[in-house]
Amino acid sequence: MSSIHARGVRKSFGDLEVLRGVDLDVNPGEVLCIVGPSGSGKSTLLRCINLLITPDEGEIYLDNIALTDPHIRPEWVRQQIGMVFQQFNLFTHLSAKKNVMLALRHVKHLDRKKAEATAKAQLGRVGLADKLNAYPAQLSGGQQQRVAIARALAMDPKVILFDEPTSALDPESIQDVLAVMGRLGQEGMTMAVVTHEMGFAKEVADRVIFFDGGRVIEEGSPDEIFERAGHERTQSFMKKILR
Amino acid sequence: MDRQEDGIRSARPPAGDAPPTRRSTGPVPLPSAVRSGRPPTSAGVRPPWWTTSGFYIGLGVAGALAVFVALGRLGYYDIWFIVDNLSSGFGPLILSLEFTTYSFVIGISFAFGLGLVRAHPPKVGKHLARKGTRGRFSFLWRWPLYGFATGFVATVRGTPFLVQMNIVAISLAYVYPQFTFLGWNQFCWFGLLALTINTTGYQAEVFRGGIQSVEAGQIEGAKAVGLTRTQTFFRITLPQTFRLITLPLTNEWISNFKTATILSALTVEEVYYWSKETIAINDVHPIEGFVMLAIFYLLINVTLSRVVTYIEKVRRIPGLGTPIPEVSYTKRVLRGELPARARG
Repeated sequence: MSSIHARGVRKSFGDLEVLRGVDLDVNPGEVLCIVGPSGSGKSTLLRCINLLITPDEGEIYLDNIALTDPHIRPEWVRQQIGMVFQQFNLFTHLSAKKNVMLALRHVKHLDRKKAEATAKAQLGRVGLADKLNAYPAQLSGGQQQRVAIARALAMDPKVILFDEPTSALDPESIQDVLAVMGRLGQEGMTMAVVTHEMGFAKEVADRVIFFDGGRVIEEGSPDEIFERAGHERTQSFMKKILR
Repeated sequence: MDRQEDGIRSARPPAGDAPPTRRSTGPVPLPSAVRSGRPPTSAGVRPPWWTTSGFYIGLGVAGALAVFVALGRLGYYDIWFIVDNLSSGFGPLILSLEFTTYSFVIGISFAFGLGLVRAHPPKVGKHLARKGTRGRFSFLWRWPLYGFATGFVATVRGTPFLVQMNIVAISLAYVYPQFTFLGWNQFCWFGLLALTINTTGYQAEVFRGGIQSVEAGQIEGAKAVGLTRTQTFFRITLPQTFRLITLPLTNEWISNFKTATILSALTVEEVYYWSKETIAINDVHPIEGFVMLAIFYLLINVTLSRVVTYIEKVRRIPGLGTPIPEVSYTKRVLRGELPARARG
């Protein structure tokens, strides 16, 4: 089990300061939910953690390794940290099975048989054993997102980051995807989840962070954040969202 | 019972003083605007003959043939001369095809590189800002390369081929007036060079468009699973690019085929030269020569685009590239998928 520690992460795009000194800890085996209004920098923070975006300042550690060290290969970092996107980002030209296999073959350098076995196992784990040869366009949103989760899982990551995984889905698919994520959390996967699904956060999260204006405003157990928020900004946000 | 009548009847308010609520569990009638549309062909309901695509295609072909024959009967040209002399154009036609294809294939390799450069414009200050990273000074070669590619494409697209050909081929032919190689004289070789340069410029833009059309999410997804930039390019971007550019690249081949006629100005004996010099001037049958030329070009280009459409269809990946066109009712009847007569 691994952990992530971010210290003083800053990032600006031009004049827009998106992250203003973020300290974040994802402890081993913990499901951390990050909630907050749109445009508050939640996604940017996740992207900084697996170096899809290079932070301007600050350090990010995976266990004891400083990921922000320029001598570390970003590909290695991304291999350790899985990522699931809002828009799935499955490879359009590959079937579900090959989507999962691609990185196994060419990043982990497994042989075809092993990669195929892993892909089948992972797709079975997310309930898509019958969709091995379907192309992403032939799958529903929820199925695509589960393939994306299988793709991340297959790399055997130490941590998985979820960037609003259910925001582009219909209510029924949301439940399928959340079920898979909940199961992962119970199995002890370290997860950081940016989400607007307050029900999921309450049920599955070990800890919740309220994020606004590029800063962590408040953190605590789901109960503390949703019911007894201390900060004024958190209270007003929760009031709107938990009507 | 007729579907439409049923709809109209149940849409009327019920007689008597009963409240206008709908109790039956039958199908809800469509609003008249929807109902008046063409019946859905996929349901196997036969549309009126004058709405089928087959009728209009037939009409078009029959009309064109009628005009063709009528002009012949009027003495505008001699149809039998065309029939007798068509085969004498095969040799020059094959030379034309050779020019087109050689220049196209050589062009692809250069255009691929140019398109790649053009698809990734260097960003001001971005590379120097990344301290201690590999490729920090890449702006030193990126800017000149991008400038060259852009200038090349702009020049090729911005000037007529005739001018390009005169500049390239005629100047070279002055320098090497007795150049022969593999049975081709200096005009053939330098003309081929000019044609290659021309098609390279256009193809470069096709490649650039294709590479840039690959969604950013695809690249992000590839990065997120740990693929390097090179791997991402060869495993994700390139396979998708090829599906996206099939059609524009076919267009470019056809365009290149037609541009090749201009090589006749260099006395290259390709098919336009044949129709002009041999048929029109020597045999004094000007119209027939060009009609034969049109027949050649039309047959080859239509066949090619049909073949490419077919390949696209059978090699298609759902959600990528050109969508499959809807199959017309006429075609589905011919394939035996639908009854020739309406049901009921």
